[in-house]
Amino acid sequence: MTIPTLLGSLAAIGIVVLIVRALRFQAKTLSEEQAMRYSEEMIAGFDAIDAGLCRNRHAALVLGDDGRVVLLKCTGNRYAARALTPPARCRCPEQGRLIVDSDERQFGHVELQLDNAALWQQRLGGAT
Amino acid sequence: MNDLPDIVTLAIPGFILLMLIEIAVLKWRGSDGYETADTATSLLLGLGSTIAGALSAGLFYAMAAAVQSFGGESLGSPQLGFAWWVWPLCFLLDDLAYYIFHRSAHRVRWFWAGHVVHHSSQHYNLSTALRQTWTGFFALSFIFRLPLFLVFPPAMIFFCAGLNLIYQFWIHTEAVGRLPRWFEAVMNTPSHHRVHHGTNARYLDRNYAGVFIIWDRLFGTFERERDDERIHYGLVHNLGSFNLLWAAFHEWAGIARDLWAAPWRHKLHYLIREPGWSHDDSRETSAMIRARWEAQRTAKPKKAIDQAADSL
Repeated sequence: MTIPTLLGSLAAIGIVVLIVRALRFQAKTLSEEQAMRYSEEMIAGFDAIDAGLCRNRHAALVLGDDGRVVLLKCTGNRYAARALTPPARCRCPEQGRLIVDSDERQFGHVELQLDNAALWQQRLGGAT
Repeated sequence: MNDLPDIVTLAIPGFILLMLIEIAVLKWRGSDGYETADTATSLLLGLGSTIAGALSAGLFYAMAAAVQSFGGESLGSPQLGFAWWVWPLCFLLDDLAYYIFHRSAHRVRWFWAGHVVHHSSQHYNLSTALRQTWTGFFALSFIFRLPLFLVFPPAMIFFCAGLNLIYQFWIHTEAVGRLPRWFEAVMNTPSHHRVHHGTNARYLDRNYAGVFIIWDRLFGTFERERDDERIHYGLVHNLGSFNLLWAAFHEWAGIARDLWAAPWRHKLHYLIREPGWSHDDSRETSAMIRARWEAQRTAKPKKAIDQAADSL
């Protein structure tokens, strides 16, 4: 690969990326029903029974009938999921705000603004 | 004949043009099939892969020449030359070699560590086709084509491999639905390859074909795309990140971590067993995920029947 080819490729990548950006392919916000459905579709064998939606509707926690909690996080305009088995690391620094740690450095922690953050903290903590 | 054109390089403007057309079509349809960071990651991974390929090309050519000379001199294998009928035979067998590589790349973690990059996007579009590994040579992906050099001229194999790669570009799209039945029966198509990129339990480890879907039909790995099941693309554990280096190397990092932590008698298994394998069954392979899904599928109707009987 020559330097002009490399520069040409970088320029072409830049143009395509700028066009995609200009066209604004945006993420669809979640409903509770969608969060439950996505969790079941993405985690084979997971049966959702309740969902807690972040107020911005770009993240959610979904409780399964086996006690696991699926953490849904918006990545670009898709959702990535992690099934957490309680006890999972989480904290509630203030009322209505829950920070859930996925235990994976790159996936990171997800901050959710929830109406019932304490309940979800309890569920993630494995408490009954 | 030994100086055949590098058709992949020649096809690059076509790749870009098709991508722009796909972007326009998806936007017009109101789809969310592209995303800025995802596209940038895919294309930069593609560029990096080309650079890595150029760096290792010399070694690969040397190995190809060694195999060719071993075939001719030591094994006395026929050297087929450039007769017209050798071309389709070479293309067909190269596609079979691709099928074997691809299946192995999903079944052996060392090979998977290179190939996983191509599956790491949650999108399925033409930029995903260009999302390629930087560590293909290190992952030994070239060994599957080496036997071809025993009988076919290296230039012909490289040309056929290039054609195979170009063919596979256009099938990475949601913009094309189903094609005529005769075509879907023989050729790999967008529909068949969407299945391959799906993380739905039903679709895991299916449709490994490059150009001809007949290999999957022959070897029992074919799965038809269904209209009643939305496909989730990507990995069973999606990265949740657009970090370029993490996308390129995350599985290698995972292998290193496992090798460090595993008991001695299990260390090798973390290299050669299927992705998701663990010595303490703390993780799931695709076969385990599929089995759990199958069990749940059969249990659910039974549960519904029991509930209906109780309510009577």
